[in-house]
Amino acid sequence: MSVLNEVIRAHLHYRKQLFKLAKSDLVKTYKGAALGWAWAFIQPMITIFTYYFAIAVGLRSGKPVNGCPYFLYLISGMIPWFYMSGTFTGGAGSIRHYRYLVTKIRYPVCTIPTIVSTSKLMINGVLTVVMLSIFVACGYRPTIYWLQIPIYFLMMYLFFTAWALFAGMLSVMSKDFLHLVQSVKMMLFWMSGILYNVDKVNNHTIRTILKFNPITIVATGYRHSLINKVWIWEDLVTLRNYVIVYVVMVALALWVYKRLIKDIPDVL
Amino acid sequence: MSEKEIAIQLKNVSKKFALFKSENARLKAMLLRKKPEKEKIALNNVSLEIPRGESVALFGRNGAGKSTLLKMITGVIYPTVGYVRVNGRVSALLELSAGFDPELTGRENIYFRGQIMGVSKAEIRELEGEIIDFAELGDYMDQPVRTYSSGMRARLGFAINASIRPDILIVDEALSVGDKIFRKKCNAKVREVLNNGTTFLFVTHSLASAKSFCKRGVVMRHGQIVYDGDIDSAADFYDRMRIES
Repeated sequence: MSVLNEVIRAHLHYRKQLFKLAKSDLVKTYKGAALGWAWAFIQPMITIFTYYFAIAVGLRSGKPVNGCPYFLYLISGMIPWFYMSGTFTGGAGSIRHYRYLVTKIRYPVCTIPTIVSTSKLMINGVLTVVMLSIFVACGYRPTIYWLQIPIYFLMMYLFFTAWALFAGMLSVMSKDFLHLVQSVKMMLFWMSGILYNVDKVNNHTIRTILKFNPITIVATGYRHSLINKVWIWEDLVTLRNYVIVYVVMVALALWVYKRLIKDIPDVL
Repeated sequence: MSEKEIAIQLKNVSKKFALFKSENARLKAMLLRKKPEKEKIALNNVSLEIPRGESVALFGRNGAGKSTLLKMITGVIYPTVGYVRVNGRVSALLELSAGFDPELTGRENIYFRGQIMGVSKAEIRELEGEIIDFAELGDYMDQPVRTYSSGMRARLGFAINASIRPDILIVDEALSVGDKIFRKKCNAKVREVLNNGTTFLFVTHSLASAKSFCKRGVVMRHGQIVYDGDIDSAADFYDRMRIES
């Protein structure tokens, strides 16, 4: 509990610096390239196009899901995925990347993963607005269910920020772990509900496990809000699974933080 | 001495660095709280008290534990045993380019550094001109720090650290960089900072510059403080120690 307290207090106390660092993290990513900020949109567009092409054109399985065109179904899962993907690996490398904040100046290490997570969230906020505009352009009127998007957005941020702390700390100590994270990412993507509906998976056990994948949980939430018109409290399984994985993630992050914090500066 | 008058206090501080054969052995030992395979003792039961406004020179050969001590006072590393108490804003030049973001420009780094250290934006704006003048970077001020030479980084680092009016200024050999004219400027700047009542901790191998700034000298050897007294006798002690070994 005292560790949780310490982490929260560091975040509150350094919130201004945190936002400033997140902003400059974002600026640094796109500064210098001739197309600059455009890359924040070109990259996701190319990725979405690639998947759409492979699935709808190549595999010919891009059928509408629950009456929603597959393209819209796809982007409602892919857009949050860009944040999750970025924070999954970026968070793991965060403390190594911001080494100078650990070894050269006094700065609370537990907020460094949050810097990376927040910076990725800022760009994802813009992408989310673009996504909603595409829905409107395709004839979907905003509904009251859309108000749940910020909730799922926040749930996603909270989970992956905890992940970033856990993975960021471990990656400092072990390069193997960092490599593992990078290798496992695509596996988690394909074994989630972004490209397909996990409810359609036949095997009961596999279906249950897939529903614990946080990526599935977020994608499901986005689709509940945009396509299926389901309230967050109507799908209690998803909500319960989120609470379980989130609590476990936070507990792991705090445990690793407590064990490693005093050794991190010696190792970096 | 009352609490308020002490700037830096170390009580029975030891620092052991755990050494392992591999990264994974280290990780395993830390998560499972096992004993390390080997340990290197960097600081061994060090106690030190520095009153507010005092300027202290720290002598010692390479590996004596000076940098470990300074990093601990800065709050960057933690003691294995004992406790460290520091009152006030610490500004530390641990290594020359201490704490710059290489992708940001020199000017951006001034703001960035200031904000991390808790200096308000208005205050930094006020100091910006002074820092820029001092660092003599010219057009490079608006170039990313990664394009700087080591001398330029050192100048900017020194300019920022000395200008943000720290309560405690820690300088680790940084004054020995740059040409003669710049060194002179640095010396003058340190003197100005010291006149404002800043506590000063200075690591150097140059006895002359130590004597010109400091009244007290502390000599370290193998992670312990072997001498603590007025600057002249500390310098003599260190000189003899160097010759003997």
